[in-house]
Amino acid sequence: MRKTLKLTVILLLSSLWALAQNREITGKITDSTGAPISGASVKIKGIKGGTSASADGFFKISANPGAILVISAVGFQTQELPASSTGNFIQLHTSSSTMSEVVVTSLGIRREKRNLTYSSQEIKGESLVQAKQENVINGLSGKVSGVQITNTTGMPGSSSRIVIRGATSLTGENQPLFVVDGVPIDNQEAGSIDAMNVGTANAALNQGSSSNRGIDLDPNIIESVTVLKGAAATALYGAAAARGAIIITTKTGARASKPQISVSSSYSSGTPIYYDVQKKWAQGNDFKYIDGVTHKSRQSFGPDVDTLMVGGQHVKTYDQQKMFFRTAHVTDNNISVSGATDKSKYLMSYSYLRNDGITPHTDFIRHSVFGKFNSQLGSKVTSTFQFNYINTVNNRINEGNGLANPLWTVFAAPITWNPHPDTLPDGTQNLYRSLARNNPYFVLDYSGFVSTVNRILPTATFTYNALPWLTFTERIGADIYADEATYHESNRIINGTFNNSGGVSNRTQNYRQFNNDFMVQMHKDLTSDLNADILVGTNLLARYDRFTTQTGIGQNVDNFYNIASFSSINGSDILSRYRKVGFYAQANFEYKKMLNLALTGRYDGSSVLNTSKNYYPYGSIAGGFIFTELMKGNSPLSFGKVRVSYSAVGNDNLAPYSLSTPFISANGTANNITYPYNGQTAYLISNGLGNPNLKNESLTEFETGLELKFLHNRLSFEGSYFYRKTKDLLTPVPVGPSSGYFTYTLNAGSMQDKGFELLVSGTPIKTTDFSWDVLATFTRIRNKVLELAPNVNLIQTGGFGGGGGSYAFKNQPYGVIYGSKYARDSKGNIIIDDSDPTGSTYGTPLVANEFGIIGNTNPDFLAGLTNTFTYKQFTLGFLFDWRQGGDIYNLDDHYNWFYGTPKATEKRTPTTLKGVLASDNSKPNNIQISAEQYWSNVSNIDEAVIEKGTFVKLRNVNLSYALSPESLRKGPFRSVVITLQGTNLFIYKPHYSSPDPEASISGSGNGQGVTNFMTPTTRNFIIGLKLGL
Amino acid sequence: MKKYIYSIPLLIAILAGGGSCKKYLDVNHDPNNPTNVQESLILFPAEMGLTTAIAAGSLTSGNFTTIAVTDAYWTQQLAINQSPPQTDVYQLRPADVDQVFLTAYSTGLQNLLILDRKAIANKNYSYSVVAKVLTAYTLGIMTDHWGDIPWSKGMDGKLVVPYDKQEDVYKAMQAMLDTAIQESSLAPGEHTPGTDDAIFGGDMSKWVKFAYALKARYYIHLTKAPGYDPVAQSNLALAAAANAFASNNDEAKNTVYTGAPGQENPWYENILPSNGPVVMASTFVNSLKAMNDPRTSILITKGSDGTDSGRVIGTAAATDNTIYSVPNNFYAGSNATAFIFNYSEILFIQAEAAFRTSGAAAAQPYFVSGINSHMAKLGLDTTSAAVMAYVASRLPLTAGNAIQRIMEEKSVANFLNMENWNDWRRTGFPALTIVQSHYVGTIPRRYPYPLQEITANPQPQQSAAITDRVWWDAQ
Repeated sequence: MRKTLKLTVILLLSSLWALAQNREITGKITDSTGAPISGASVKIKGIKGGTSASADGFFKISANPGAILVISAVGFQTQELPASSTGNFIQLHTSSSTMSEVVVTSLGIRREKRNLTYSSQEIKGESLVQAKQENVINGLSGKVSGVQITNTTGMPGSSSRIVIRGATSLTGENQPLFVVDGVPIDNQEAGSIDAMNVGTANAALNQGSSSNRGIDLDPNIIESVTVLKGAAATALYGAAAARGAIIITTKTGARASKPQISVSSSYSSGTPIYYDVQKKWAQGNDFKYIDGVTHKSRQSFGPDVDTLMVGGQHVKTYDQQKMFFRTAHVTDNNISVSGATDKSKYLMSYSYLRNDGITPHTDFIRHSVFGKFNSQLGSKVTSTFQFNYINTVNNRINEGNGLANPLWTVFAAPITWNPHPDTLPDGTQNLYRSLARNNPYFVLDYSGFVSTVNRILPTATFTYNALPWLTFTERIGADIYADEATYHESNRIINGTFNNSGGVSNRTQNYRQFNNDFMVQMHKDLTSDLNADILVGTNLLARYDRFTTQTGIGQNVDNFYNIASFSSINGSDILSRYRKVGFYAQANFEYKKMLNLALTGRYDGSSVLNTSKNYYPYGSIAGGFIFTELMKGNSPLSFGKVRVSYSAVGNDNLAPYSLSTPFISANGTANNITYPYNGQTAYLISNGLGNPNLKNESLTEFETGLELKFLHNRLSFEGSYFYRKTKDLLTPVPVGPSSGYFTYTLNAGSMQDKGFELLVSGTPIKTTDFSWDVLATFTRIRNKVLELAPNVNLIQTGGFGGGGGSYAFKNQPYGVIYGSKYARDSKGNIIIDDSDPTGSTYGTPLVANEFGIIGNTNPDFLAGLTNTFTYKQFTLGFLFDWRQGGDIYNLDDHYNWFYGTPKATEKRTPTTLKGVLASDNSKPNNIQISAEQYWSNVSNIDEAVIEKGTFVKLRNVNLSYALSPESLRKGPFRSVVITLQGTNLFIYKPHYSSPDPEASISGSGNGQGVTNFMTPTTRNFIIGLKLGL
Repeated sequence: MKKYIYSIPLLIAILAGGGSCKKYLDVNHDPNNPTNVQESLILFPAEMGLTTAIAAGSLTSGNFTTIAVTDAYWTQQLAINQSPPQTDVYQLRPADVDQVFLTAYSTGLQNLLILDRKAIANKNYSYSVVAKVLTAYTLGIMTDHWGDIPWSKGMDGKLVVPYDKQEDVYKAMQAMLDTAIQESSLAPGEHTPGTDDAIFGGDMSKWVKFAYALKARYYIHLTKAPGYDPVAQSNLALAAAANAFASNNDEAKNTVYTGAPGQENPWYENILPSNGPVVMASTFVNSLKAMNDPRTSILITKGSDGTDSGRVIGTAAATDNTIYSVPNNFYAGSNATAFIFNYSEILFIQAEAAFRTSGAAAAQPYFVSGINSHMAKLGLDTTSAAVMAYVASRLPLTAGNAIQRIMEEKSVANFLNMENWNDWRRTGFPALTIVQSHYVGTIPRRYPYPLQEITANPQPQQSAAITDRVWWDAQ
């Protein structure tokens, strides 16, 4: 299953040299390709001890010629053979049994999965490449249990949110730690630029999101991704991984003396999944036509276009979406060279991805250069040097509620309006309604966001195998990037980010993170039945993250955006420094290959907490019992394990400098006013009250799981149940303004998550020519906010400030939707306004006086199904992804119902709503209203626009053909694979009216479940070719 | 023995790490924000915040509910061109006023208190005078809208803050203004306000006049407060007014809005089509038209059909908001002055007080001066036929019409000023009828407490409905 073996693999205790009658036996252990398997274990059957192979695979052991040698290595089938027969060459075969599957765990340590006492799941790099997602996180969708992944928009470079086992923080980070080859990397989303100091949440609401930095990872260089789910799995990582960890292992050079060249290339063509609009009714009101030229109207409640004649001619109609969106083109190319000499291995890879999105002027381009060099330095020391240089460029157009979003008019414009030309002869925009929106084509030409990231991920690892049972590992790694982002907007954009003044905002983010781990690993066979693995280590982490923003407002040169040409320039400079130090230890005991006990402990110091409380300990205890070891005979059950763990983890989920209450720049405190103001700088006391006494949060988790394999591993099952509880959550809680502040950061708040995750995989059919593999995942998580803070019942996480949006509510799941709702009588009937027959709301539902909880953004469950059929050289695979439930506050409806453009508004017959009269709740409503009245009014009620986000997506269908080895024998190629693929070929979304329920205006941030004029998802057809030379 | 040798490097690493850990972790010092700043850096944004967000009601985007705009809706000077229910039909919920409360208490009062303490400690008494006058100004706005409010026990970071009775807040405001007037005679200290004072440019004599103007306003507010005699209050108001503004040149206003990007007048921001759209209400427009007021074209624009056109509040939203008039450039141009306390108001306070103490004849000269001061401010020639005809049409004041006419004229001179709603609650003038599609049964007489106060600082007063009355608004 796994060809690579590292010298960090557990070594066996020194041999018994004493037996005088023995003679020395030597040999070399290799894998099926002839590459040496360093560290392979060589034992003599029935005798304690043994030896292990050197880095070049050679071993020497003293044995009685009649003895039986047992040769084993992690990831390979164990071989037994007489000592006399071992000439010199022993070939081990990779294990097809997942029983000895090796997985990468915390700190890059490889362990046999059978010995793990917690839930983890590994995804192969190939399947990430095959997913054809520019964002590696999206490549995991539907394949991992216990994990919720939400892509946020169809915009190129879209961010994706991943949460493992539910939310654990109210306002802080909820996404897992990302680790590449043992070194943590950054996955933050810088977001849109808050040029006008409205706060990052409002900036996201009005301008949309940006990429999460995980998008920089090139799937082509990934060997595997391991998802460590529970605290027991990640306790060694400490605070950062309390939310789970995504452990990414990159590829290593092939063990081939001849350079192996691999080339892959694919082209993809994408079309939007359109917003469903009505194509029947013209612009206008009360069935009367308004042409949008001589008279203006926001609404499409005009006459039927089929019968509408103007000047004896039918009025022309326009498909606004088909005109606006273009076909997306994605190309993905990779070339890699790898090979080995006797003392080293190398891999060099270059990838180029380009995604030209469906919205003109939007794209995502990624260059990734990767190199990895493994060297044997002397007999006991090995080193790995690797670096990854990534350059990404992402061009975007605003999304969300701000008016510099073209979709405001693409989705809401009447079908009778011709958006071309975008500019009228007098230089103003061609609009169908009065000044308050923009022509979509004008927005494309006069605004835009671009982010350019240059990033390097260098890592050096040294391993010193001091003794067969003792290994020292030193690993130093860094994550260094600069993100230069610019948003520009013309002064001819109406009511955009810069309030008609025009502006440009340049934001530079400089991020540097250094991580050092020094570990000592020991392996000891305490008795012939009991062995122990011990690990102790230290960790140092230092982070520097600086955002420097300069904003120029007041455009003087038309459609020119150099900041020096703007009337007024102001800036901000925000530096965050964070450091952490950790000491950790882990002990694993294995008894008779049946019982496992794992203990971990860690002691962390964090720079962001109160200096007298900034060190805190935590740890975990876990046990596994492989009960099939007790079973004899030919049971269909080939492997069975139960495991239980309990862990307590500390967490410093807090922004630096939260302990004090400084004076802060007054920008943003008086609407549009920017400082310095004619040379006058301005400071006000922060409205967030700092708290000098903050200590760590804590998380406790109980997990139990069952792993079963049947019929010689043809069918396997893994299920876990977990219960986790967080408390002392570090949260800026809202306080009454009467305190002089708006928030106060407290160790308050408590949440629980409980749930189960199931993974079933199997091979129902396997013949020589044909096989069918299935992988199914199922996840069900229930979250509950137990406590926010004294007197605090709600904290907003997304949506409009103080208005409809997603919130944390005490005794509710994290992320409920709170907003205006229908007024109802005591029986739950909707109350209809009958107060004033001349009033515009007569006959329409009344809005309740109080806001209420109107939805829950958490899905009921998640499920995924992957099927792979292989017939001779053909492989057919497809992936279904199912999200059941999860409400969405769909602002597309909120606006577009009013405008009368969605399909939902197509029926235009008068209606009498079900409900009771406001004046007398015993009387049923009898007031007939027009469709226009209904849609114009009901869109105001948040409750009306809550939609269930259930979907079933056929995410991926792929058909590939690999040329047979026979046909390749004469040519220059090692392998040739041709692939045809389709993504998002089918989306079933019975309740959600916008293109894709998998969307979020807050990007990958916490305020999920709010959508507002997001770029549609694309449906792609892909052709790919992969060549091995 | 040998194997223990290998643990030595580990021990060294741990010990070395441990020894320097304290220093290693010592990076939590905020390099971005200062812990102390001088008075001038606080005064300017406090004034800009108060004038922009409170006096002229322009809040950060995303929240359009502000006191000044809402008061203008409820006195039917302005309307919002959106389908009801909106704020103009009295839909005002606790969450809607969170931001206003934050601005008043955190941006405003909290920083003014810090400024006052700092100035006293540094003996820079000009700043302490300014801080106290602005505090009294802000507190007045808050208590007039909310009645009992957090004050004496608030703003020290304590999370539970009992509210002060409105009567006590009024006493505190008068006392604070008296202190400010006393401190103005102290040596001003090393640092004095200058360009950092957006209201008076550091002219301390005008700050003292502003203090007296506020005293007069707060005395006259209590004409029907339980236990207060309207005549006595009127005499106090007259005495204070005598030391208040003496001309339009004295009045409290913010003139630093240049119209440049980031320096636009808040009313200009308020009537941007994206913020509402906020347009003129028919009640006010029709009243101007009915009186043939010569100020009309200066106060408001014409609708797209070329007429002065106000929106009937509570009707279906017009598909094209340009059909309605909006405030014109004098008040809502991008570089317009934002008026905080008009000189005309002093004259109308004097007119009302004189009427209450001495009758209509005594009130009339103040009344005429009040109208003319506003005409002059708008650039109209008070000796022109149009103005003289208009003034004549408003005379004579009689015992029967004095209060009504004083308040009608005061509300035009106080165009878009929050004082109009106070005057309506005190006197019932200018007369209002409840709007169509009204969200509550009667015209509101107070604001709801903000949601964030209700949830984080529960107090018994918070159950008040917006149709309830504040203490001084006794029936």
